Amino acid sequence: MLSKRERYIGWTAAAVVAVLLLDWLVLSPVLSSRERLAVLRQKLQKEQVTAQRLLADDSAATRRYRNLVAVSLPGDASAAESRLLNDLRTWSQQAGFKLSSIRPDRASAVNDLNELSFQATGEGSMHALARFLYMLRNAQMPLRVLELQVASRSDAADDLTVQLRISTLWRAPAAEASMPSGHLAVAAEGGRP
Amino acid sequence: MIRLGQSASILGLALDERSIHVVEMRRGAARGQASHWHAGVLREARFDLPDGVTWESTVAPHANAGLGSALRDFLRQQGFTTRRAVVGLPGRWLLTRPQTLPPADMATAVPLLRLAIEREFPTDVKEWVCDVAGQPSPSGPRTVLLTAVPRRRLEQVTAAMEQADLDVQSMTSTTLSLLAASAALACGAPGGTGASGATDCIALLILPHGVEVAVLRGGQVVALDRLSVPTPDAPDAAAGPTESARIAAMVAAVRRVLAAVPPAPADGSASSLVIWNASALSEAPLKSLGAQLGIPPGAVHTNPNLAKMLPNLPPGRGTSDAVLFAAAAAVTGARPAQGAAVDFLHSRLAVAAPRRLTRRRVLSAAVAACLILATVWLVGDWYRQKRAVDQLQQRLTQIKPELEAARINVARVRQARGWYDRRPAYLEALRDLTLAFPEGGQAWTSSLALREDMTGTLAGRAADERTVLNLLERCKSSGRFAAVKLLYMRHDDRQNRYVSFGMTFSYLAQE
Repeated sequence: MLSKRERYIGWTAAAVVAVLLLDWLVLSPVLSSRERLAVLRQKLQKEQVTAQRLLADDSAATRRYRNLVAVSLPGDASAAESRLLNDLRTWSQQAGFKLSSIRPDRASAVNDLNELSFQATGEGSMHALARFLYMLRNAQMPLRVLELQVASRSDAADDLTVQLRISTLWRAPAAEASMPSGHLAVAAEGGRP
Repeated sequence: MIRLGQSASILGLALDERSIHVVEMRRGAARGQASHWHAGVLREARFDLPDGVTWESTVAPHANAGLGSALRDFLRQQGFTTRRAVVGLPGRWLLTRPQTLPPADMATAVPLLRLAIEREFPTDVKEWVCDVAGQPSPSGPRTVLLTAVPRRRLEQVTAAMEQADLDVQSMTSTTLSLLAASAALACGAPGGTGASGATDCIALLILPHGVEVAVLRGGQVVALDRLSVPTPDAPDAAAGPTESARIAAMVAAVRRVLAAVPPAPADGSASSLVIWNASALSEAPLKSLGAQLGIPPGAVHTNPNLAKMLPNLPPGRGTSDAVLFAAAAAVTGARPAQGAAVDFLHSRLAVAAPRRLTRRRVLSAAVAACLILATVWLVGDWYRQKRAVDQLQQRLTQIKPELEAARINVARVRQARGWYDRRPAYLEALRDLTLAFPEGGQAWTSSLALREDMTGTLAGRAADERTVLNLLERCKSSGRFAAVKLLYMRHDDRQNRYVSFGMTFSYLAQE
């Protein structure tokens, strides 16, 4: 027969063992799993916010792209080249900037958009160069000045030699085909860029 | 403890061998004086047990269902509407033992009385239901009366009363209740000297088939017994002894009972005798009974106040019925706490069931409940987290193809914007460079190269080194250029008139 003291010790030991077992088998695994889940949930919530933002950007981007395509993006390389050469000639005449040569540089493709580059050389005053650059800057067609080199032919006169690397874009047929139907539906509304 | 509820009336049932006398009393009336009884008795009736049914014929608790239903029908026919009832048991069903207690209160006395019960009923204590008549006194020794009824008998009566649709409030002794009423009506209130100045009160209940005696001493019941005397109304009574002989036998039996009780106090207080005669015995011999017991004639009361108590008794009813109706009325007023009565349904000697809700158990239950609640909350929270994670993962998986397409589309448009509204800001760079140069013409540019990432290289000439350094400083402080570095600065002619310099920079285009 156990004494009262021994019974107390026995019950206490049993309770401690039970608590330890409960902690080992249930509490610790559940708490650990709960913590992992909380971290994962936070990460997934951030991903969801990013995804929602991306989808919102996508709808705006689709409208903008559709507008670009409709307004100014040429559908083939020769059209893009021809348009660029014509426009450069027109702008140089309007600016009083003498273009001495334009020659093709290289072609590349990124994300279903094809890029055509040209090397242009010209002469003129600072004022003429500025006007010419202004016209390039505000062109309706896709155009980008990749590099500008200006050199003074004389210390005494406003006579500059200019070298420009210019590129333009044209769209590949695959670019349009790759757009999701939802994008086409949005684009059909004719949104502004 | 007898509990009289809030109902306006209550039934008193005096059980007898062959009949049950029922009285409906106004609540609390039986506790008062005879005049109160007068106003308190609402109706009375005698129920005779059906032929072939006796209390002794059926011992099993539920064997006499017919008795209970017959009683129920009888009560309805007689117009009894009250369901609450107090049942008085006949003395022959009871076993009594006087017990002298040392000075003690009730709480102290109860364990002593339980020990006494175990001593009195060593082998079959569980077969008896016991209560105590009388109260111990902290100021001096007291004699109380241990009273017991067979458990099976009690269950039998209880079952019959349930069958009769009665809500039994308590179950007491008819004789003791009548004794208490006698003390109030004839001998004075229990615990005090009576109307006749006596502190001993002997009550004799002479029934047609037996005689019961109870003794009240100093307000305490000290004896209750059934006398072994010839039954006055026995079928062979005519062939038996004469009334005088019966009286003599009664006197002898009462003396034996008195001899067994603790001695009377030495103050020489007188006794009184109350005789409730429900038998065919005539009045005259009963008068001599008191004298033979040494009780003065003025202290002998036969059927006291019976007419006052039950004035509305129909003429057809005999004295026998009247006495038993009085007994039935008396049981409704029995109050064990005040001394003379017992209650077998709420015995003061019953061992209280151990408290189920001990402090330790409550504490343990609270701790267990907290643990369970915490576990449930924890698991619930874990489940909610998991469900939320699953839903998020499912949603992201669902929109993954759409996201991929969106990512490509956004990247394509972002790229295309470099050929439209995000063109390199060459004009702005030229303008800010021009503004950084001194206005006096001390420095000028000989060549400039600008790339689309707005990094540039500038070569030029200046009048002196200070001008070059000033130009660099102005570029840096304008906030439009970063990473402004001097590549070289040298005098490039023989006369040292001009300084050639080269610098690199990164133009910070404004969005």
